[in-house]
Amino acid sequence: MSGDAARAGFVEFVRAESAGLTRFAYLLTGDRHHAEDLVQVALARVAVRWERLDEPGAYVRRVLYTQAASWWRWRRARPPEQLDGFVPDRPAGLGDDADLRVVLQAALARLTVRQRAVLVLRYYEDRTETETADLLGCRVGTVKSQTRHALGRLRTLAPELAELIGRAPQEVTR
Amino acid sequence: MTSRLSEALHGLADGVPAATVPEELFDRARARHRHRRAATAGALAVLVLLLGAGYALRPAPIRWPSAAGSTAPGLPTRLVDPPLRTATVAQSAPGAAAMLFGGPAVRDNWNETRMGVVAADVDRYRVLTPSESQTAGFGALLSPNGRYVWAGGLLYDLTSGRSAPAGTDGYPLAFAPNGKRLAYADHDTFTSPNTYATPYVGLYDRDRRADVLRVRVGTAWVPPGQAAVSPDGTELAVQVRDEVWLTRVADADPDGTATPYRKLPLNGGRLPGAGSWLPDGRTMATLTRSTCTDCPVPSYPRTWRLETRDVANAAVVPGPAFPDVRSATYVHLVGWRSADEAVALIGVPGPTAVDRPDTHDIATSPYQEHGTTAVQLVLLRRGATSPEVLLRTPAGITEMTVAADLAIHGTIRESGRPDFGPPPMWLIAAGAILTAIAGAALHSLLQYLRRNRRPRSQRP
Repeated sequence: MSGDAARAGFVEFVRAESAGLTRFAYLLTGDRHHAEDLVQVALARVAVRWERLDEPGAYVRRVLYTQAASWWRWRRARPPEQLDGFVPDRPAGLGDDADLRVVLQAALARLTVRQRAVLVLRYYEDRTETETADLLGCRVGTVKSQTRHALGRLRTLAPELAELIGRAPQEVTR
Repeated sequence: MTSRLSEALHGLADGVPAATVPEELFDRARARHRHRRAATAGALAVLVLLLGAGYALRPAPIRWPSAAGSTAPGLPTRLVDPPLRTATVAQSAPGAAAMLFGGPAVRDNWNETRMGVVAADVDRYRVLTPSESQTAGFGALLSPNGRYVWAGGLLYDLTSGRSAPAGTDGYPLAFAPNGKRLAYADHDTFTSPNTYATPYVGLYDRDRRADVLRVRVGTAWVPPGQAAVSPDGTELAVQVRDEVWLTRVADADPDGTATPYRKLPLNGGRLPGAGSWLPDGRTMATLTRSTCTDCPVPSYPRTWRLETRDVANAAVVPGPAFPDVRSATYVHLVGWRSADEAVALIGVPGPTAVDRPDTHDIATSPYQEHGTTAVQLVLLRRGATSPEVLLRTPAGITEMTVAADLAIHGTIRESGRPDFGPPPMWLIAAGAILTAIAGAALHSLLQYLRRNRRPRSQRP
């Protein structure tokens, strides 16, 4: 593949994927600027390896996930926390979509990067468990367990999201 | 249920605008990748070069010359100031030494404790840096055979470069003539405002690894250089104020302490260092002090005269007088060629030296005095009119001690080309850094030329 052809293919890929990649990165990080940085870094890596990549979309998502998980990026992006003695008020119910977004975003921020990645791939990008496992480089069983843990944690962190994610499984007596 | 979660996630993310991706990202990312790869390769090359150079220049054990081709050991006729790149004794052992020396030319503000060593067989120079500053010939001593340096509580083996604790707790006073026993002074005690005292002087046996004698000194202070061990190593002479105390190992109590069996009065004189005992073991040399009128250094009229005394009755041994040593800050006897010829090191005063009276323990010689500008190795012969100068240190080397065995036998060899040993690590590192800088500059130049050679239309 000549240099011009590679450049043209990359530009086309960016045009087609950048919006989706940015949203994927945003859901991973919870921060637009951080997401934009991540996307640029990931695309730069794709550019270097463009001729050798069979599935650039999968590769770039993998890079986004690993970069989001890397310690120094997490450390740099994480806003300093200030603790006080007051428990913030929660809305009694989700009045509108804005409340829902705020609560969901806050709850996602409390998950691990891997749990967020699993949720985003499964429920935002509608990937199958197998595809998610391939993209994250883990086993299908890990995807299942991470999904279960993530949903359970969301239930704990934000009970008001129950109508989104369902009730906790009930014990069955035989 | 999960479709609600999907909708909520879309509601959260779908409003996020696409990231701005620079048009030149593709080319820029590839160029940066190429540069990083080149830099990594360069760093690896430098690392390999460094490791290779370090391996090639590593301190290696010295191959001693074979007996047929070896140079006869002796005191060199010329002493040079070891440059900064001189290897340390630990890096490259010099072998048995002829001299240990120091002074302003050897030390600087960054190397305050630096001393030089020159080997006995060839002009192999090395440096020693004890943890505390020591004066060669006083706080730092060379063993009679030149193999060991005793400084700062450590014995440095010059044939292996290793050091080990000397086994004594205090500061050095003298080696026994056979090097097996070490006379030392326990750490000073201080009484305000200005009184120092030496609790005891000890004689340590290196084979037994224990003190064989301890002499309680009381309230006097015993400075370095004021003790001597008899030729057979069984008696110790220590100057305590204005007396020489003679003590025998055989008189020691079970705890090792002994009281002097004789005290020789000095009448303002001195015990002249480690070589004070004559080879017969029954005669001891002392120094008397006077002033001269036609001194070589008129501002420093201190004059010393050597006398020998029978230790049995303190009587002066009759015979022609030794020559006066005029304008000398100190006289240290190295040893005796015969009963009439003594080899000594003397301190040569400079214009700033002040001849102070012996009224205060701390201010007195034989501790190396401020203003001493050189050291001379001299031969004092009965009946001679003046000392015969065998060697004088060059400018800037103001402290020196010699291997007594070589000095006593008068073995002097012609100096050759100095060998300062393998370069130290800091010099190798500096060379590597300079090489790396030069390499980077060359790389930049080549890149610049390559860019300018490329047609403008093809430039990125």
